[in-house]
Amino acid sequence: MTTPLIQLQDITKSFNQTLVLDKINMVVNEGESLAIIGGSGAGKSVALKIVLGLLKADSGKVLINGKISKPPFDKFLSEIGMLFQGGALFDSLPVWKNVAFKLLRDKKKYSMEEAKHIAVEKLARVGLNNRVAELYPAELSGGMQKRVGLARAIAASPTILFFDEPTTGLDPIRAANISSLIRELVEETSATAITVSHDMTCVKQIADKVNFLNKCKIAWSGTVEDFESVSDGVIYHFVNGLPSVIKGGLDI
Amino acid sequence: MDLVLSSLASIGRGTLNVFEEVGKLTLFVISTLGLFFRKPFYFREFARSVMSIGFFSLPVIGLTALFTGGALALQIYSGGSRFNSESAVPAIVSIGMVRELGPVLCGLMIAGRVGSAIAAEIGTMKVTDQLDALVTLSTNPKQYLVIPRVAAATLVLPFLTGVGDILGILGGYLVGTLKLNFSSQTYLSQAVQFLETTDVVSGLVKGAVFGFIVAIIGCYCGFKSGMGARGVGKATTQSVALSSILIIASNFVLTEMFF
Repeated sequence: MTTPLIQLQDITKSFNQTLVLDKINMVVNEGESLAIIGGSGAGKSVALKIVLGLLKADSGKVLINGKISKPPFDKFLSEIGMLFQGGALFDSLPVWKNVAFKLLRDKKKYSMEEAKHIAVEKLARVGLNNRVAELYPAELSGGMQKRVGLARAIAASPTILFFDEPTTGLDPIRAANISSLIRELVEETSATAITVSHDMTCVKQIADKVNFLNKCKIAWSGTVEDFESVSDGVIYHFVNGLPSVIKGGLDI
Repeated sequence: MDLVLSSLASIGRGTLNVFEEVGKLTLFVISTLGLFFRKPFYFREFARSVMSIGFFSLPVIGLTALFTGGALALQIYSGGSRFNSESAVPAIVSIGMVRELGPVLCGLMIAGRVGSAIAAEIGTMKVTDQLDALVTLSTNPKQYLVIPRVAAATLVLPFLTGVGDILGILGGYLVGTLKLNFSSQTYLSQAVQFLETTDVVSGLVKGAVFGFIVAIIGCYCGFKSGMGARGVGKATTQSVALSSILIIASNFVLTEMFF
């Protein structure tokens, strides 16, 4: 049996005595594309931040390649790429420097010209032209910022990709474009992907496996196909976007 | 009885909060100092900070010092005339500017102009996930944001203080020669004659300390900023208030040490 790439064991997290995650367990194998889904405020992003070491769990363990993940997370972070919900682009840097940020850190490996060349290449891969490279993030639309964020996430050829609400705030056409772009990039790079989303259309397009968070726990885990055919009330309501009328239903 | 207990409880809570805040600030300063000599040093951020803290603050510092020097000359002349000491105006203006007013005014103006901007910038970065993005891009946010700003402010403030001193003395000179009937030569010779090297050095050292305070407090408030526009606004206000208080308090300590 192969060791999972990322494993969460009994992770508990609360903020100001409000429980957000209650002993959750999660397994992500190499090459898999996992989606963590659930209603707003279900703790999806918190789980992601705990994996990345951005938040510390109150109890439980995060294992990377079977080893307990402890700070500093330098090696793990050098292998990842992350797309943030709002893009999280640096306002003071032009678009190409945002994309090449990680490459520019290693001046011995990449010269300024090489880094810029790679950045422009990655921008082209996400459908943005040369002209955009010289603009500043404030000059871009929300969809373009997401694309730049995506280009930045893949710039250093990561082996693990994280996507936090990749389609939130986009119109349906742009959301579909971003979802299919993510799918293509994940397949192209053979990277392991973890996506946090509450957009079922996006999840169906991107993920192979689903972990459904509800009431601070993983309420369901399995393939996307199985998830869609679940007859359980809460999940059925979530998948079909119906108001929850079930007592003790979706925790929103 | 309940009123007494609740009053005591709120005093206790307030005291604990103050200690907690002091502890957090101390840990922040220690962890920052620990990063000072660690690579990489982000020179571009440093250069950008030197420009924004130093160069773009020159008009504010210059005007403040010029008018303060002028006002100081008028006050000393008016006060000195009560015991026939009008001739002391040039010496007192130059000593007062160089020892006290130059560095303190410079520190306070920078706290308002730069400390608030640092807190707002970093606070906004926190709210928009840019600090987390730095971590995921294998970059230590403190090393990238705090070290260049603190280094720039600590190095630049003595220069700004020097400029403030000169312009303050110039303000006194203009008032002295144009309004108080001092001859140009007498004013300048008296202004320089009584100044000692320690006066100038202590003023510049104060400038460096105030620069460090303004930048580190701005960064600290930005890093601990709450979420949303309100959180960033609060962080900005706190940074100005806290750094102003620390500048005034540390000025007393430094003055005590030097003289």
